[in-house]
Amino acid sequence: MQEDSSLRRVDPSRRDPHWSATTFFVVLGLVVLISILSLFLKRPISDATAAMTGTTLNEPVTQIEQYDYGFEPHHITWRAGDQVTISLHNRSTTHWHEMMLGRGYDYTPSAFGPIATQFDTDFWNGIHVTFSGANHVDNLCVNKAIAKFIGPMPNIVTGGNFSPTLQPGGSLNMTFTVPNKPGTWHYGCFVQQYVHYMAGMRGTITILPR
Amino acid sequence: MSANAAGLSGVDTANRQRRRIAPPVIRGLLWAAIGFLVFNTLVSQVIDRQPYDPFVTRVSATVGWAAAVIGWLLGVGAWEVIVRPFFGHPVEWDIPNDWRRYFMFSTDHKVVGLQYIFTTTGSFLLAGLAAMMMRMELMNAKLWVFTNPGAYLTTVGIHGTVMMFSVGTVALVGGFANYFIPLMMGSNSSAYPRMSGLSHWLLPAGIATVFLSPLLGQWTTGWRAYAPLSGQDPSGIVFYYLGVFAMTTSSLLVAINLTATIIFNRAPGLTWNRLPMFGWGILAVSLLTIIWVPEIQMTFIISLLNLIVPFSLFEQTGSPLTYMESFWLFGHPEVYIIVVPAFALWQEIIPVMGQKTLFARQWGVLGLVFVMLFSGLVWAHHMFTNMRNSEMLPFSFFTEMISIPTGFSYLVVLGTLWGARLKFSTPTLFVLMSMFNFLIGGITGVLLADPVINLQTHDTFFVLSHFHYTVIGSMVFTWLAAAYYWLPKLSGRMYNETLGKLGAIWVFIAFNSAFGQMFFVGLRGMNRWVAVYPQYLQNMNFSISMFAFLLGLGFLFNFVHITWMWNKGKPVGQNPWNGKTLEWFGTPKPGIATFSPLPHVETGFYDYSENTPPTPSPPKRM
Amino acid sequence: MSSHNTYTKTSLRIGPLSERDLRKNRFGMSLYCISQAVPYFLLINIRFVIAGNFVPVGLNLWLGGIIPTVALLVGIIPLFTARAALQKDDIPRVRSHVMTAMLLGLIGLLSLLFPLWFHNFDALSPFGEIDLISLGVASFYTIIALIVAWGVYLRLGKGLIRKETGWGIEATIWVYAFNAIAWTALFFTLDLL
Ligand code: HEM
Ligand SMILES: [Cu+2]
Ligand SMILES: [Cu+2]
Repeated sequence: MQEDSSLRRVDPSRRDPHWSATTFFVVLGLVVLISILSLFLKRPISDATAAMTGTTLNEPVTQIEQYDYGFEPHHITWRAGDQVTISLHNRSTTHWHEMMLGRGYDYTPSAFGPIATQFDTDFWNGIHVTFSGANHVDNLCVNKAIAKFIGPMPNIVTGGNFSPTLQPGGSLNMTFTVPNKPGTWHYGCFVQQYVHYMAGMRGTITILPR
Repeated sequence: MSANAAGLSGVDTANRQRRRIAPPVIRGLLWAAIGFLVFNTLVSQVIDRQPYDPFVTRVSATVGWAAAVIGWLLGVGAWEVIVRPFFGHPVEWDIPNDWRRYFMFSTDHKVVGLQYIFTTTGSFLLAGLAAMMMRMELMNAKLWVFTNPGAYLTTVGIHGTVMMFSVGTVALVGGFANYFIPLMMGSNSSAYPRMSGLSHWLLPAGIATVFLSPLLGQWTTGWRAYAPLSGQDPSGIVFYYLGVFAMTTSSLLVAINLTATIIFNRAPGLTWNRLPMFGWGILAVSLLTIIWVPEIQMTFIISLLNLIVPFSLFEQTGSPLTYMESFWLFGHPEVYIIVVPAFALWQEIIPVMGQKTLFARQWGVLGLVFVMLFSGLVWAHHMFTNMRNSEMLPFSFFTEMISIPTGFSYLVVLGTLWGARLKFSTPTLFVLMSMFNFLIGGITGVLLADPVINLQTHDTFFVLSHFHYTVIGSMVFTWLAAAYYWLPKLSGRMYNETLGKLGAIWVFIAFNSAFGQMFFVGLRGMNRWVAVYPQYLQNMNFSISMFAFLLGLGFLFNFVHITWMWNKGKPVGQNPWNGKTLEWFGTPKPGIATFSPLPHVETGFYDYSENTPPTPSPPKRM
Repeated sequence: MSSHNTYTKTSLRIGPLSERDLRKNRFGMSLYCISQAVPYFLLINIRFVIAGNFVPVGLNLWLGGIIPTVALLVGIIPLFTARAALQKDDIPRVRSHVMTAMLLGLIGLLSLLFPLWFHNFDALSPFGEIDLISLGVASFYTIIALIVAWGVYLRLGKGLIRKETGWGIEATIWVYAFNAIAWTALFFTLDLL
């Protein structure tokens, strides 16, 4: 509180409080101008800088959560050419879940009729994917994707489509540039004899053309 | 008595060799920039590197922002006035006795009040500009001003957020109350002047943060930042949370300061029975602020952590409804934080303008206090679409009950008006208009409290118009009333009565034409938060937009008029309205003690009867 | 004395607080406590809404629990004895007691921060999220209390706080005790109930 005992004052003051009006108005004006420009010209400026430095712009993270038995969100929209990070997290406390992305189905016959076992076309074929932040990843099959790893190395397996399988509480980030494969794609979890998929653990992705 | 007076004598005679200080605001900007750069870099490049190595991440922006705000506050003067003395160094902060005092840390409540008045007015104009852009977009059923719906929604969010947290909550409290409450209490200072000086400088930081939020990306939630939507957008919402945190902290500090001022800085003889109505109003909103602002701050901090850690407390897999409840627990009291000072000002201005004793004063006080108490019981009327039928009844009931204490405020003013020889000045006109507008806002509010109607009109322009009637219609109109009423006190000059009345009628007609139509466009199916809408609504929207532009110009007209008269108006005496509250008996000049010696109060302030029986002697207040 | 005088030449002399100013300062501190108690209520409320009574098995009751609670609560005592010593104008003693309180506060802070990094429950669970936020909130207010105590400690060293002008010590007691009690309540409802 203001009555504090510490308040002593140096007197007479060593400093002249009449600060310069010119500095004040010029600098303030510049700051306001820069703010306005950056606010309304953000896209052109960042595109130009990106073009000059040859970097791509980072796009936001897509948070995807797995639970028993579903994905949140279960619909996602991306635009071809955007750089996207999927941050996958298994919220279940009991179940292992995976995430495949693709189109069409591989079926296996059963007493109840044909059951989808995985996607026919693997979305990830030929895509450069950077994996990071692997935490409690049970196994990772990269299939025909071109993988790069930052940080802890998950347990790599082969066979079947591209699919990270997370332990309960596990998480993994996958960064990639959305390929020019416009249209509707599906994602799903086919573990435990496909019952997760049948129970509704799936979603769709719309990829807009560039 | 003040810094300036003391500092001045030394300054002018002093040797010119003394080092000139840098402009504090510029130093603040510099320290803020350094703080942001250092901490942002530290987090994004060292502590928490992300794949592909972005320079600004959500986490680094948050930490960098915190450093920037601290740098800003220290730079404008908190370093000399608060931090160094706190660690035992002597204070070294002189304030020149000129316009410079408004652009540096000051502990003079009049300077702080004026700083708040400038800052809120500026933010009102900027957020109003955003509203104009929105109305421009809505003139046409198709997208034409904005290139995508997200940009429109971001603009809606910025408009709503700044209007609520920097205009609605602040204009009458941080602005006029900081200036006038100590005067009305007959005191030369607010209770905690150093804290008060700090509080103002948080506000521009918050406003700038919200306006610059698109730098981090769009956000489409509007001012309520509903989860889980907030988690699905790009990152602009991070700056929403941070900016609101700065603005609400500013309001919290003001509330604490004014509460203590009212309780401890009253002049001798100013008993509770004699406390001015504006004092009661500010006391009521301060208590609301002290309870509910920390509540929403914690909610927003959790929501921010949700986003940047990330957690999922309020996400789809968590409990989004908990966010809504926590938001509206604060959200409804917030609307009374906005409107209670306006009620109080009606009761302040009308007795003076009518030169007639305030009717049933104690009922007026009761009304303000009960509105305050009830406001915590009604939050769920914002969530009728999310609850069971059985839960609606109590909330519907309490909401409609609030109209009773609100009614007291009306009856007190009407009773005062009854038979008064009312001076039909610009402030009077604005107060009466404000009462009319709040009546419309209140009646539609009672309608909305009825679940049947609510479920039909939820998220339509009907609701939008309802609350603009309460915020613009009553609070902003009363804000203008107060500006005209106190202009002679603030500047020693009088406005021009004809121009004042013209301004009042202009905004009244424009406002009612624009927002009156919005009720109907809402009933016909116009939704909120849409940049594109069905063709059949275009004609009406076009007409609304035209009146909205007229309204914008009307506000501009009033501000220009006030600013003009502030400098060039006809000089007037101490007390042109013949008011009896204490502010009329001092000469408030920033930097100089208002009262010396302190006044001594001997009667109430609202007693205009010629032959008052108990204390017939003319009150000597000076 | 009007507080606006802070910048006048007269305030070069450090005067004692009037009875009224003392009451005003205490009132301000109580408003601080009331308003800052609200976030704690909210945290407790949200915990029960989101996680019910669930307490994970792996929860370590010592770190981020009993240790900071005891350290912070015990830390209040030396502040009171410091105030008593100030009445006798025994400044070195006041300083050493304030220092003791600061050390205890530091132990509390470290023990709160430790489980923010190392915890053997699932951080991304309803309970885990609320518990971590609570630890963060408690650390924040502990840091505030430590800064307040530190400033007083330095001012004591400069001879700026004396018997008649002891508000700084009392302010520290308010802030420090608020933090200790609020954390204790939070710990009790979060981890023990
Ligand atoms: C200057 C005249 C004003 C005009 C023409 C105006 C117009 C609008 C419009 C068109 C919208 C959004 C419509 C939509 O949902 O798509 C809006 C939203 C809003 N306005 Fe205003 N407004 C004005 C002044 C104010 C004032 C003075 C306040 C408060 C003090 C205010 C508070 C709000 C709030 C809280 C929202 C909701 C934002 C949201 O949905 O998140 N407005 N206004
Ligand atoms: Cu699964
Ligand atoms: Cu409400």
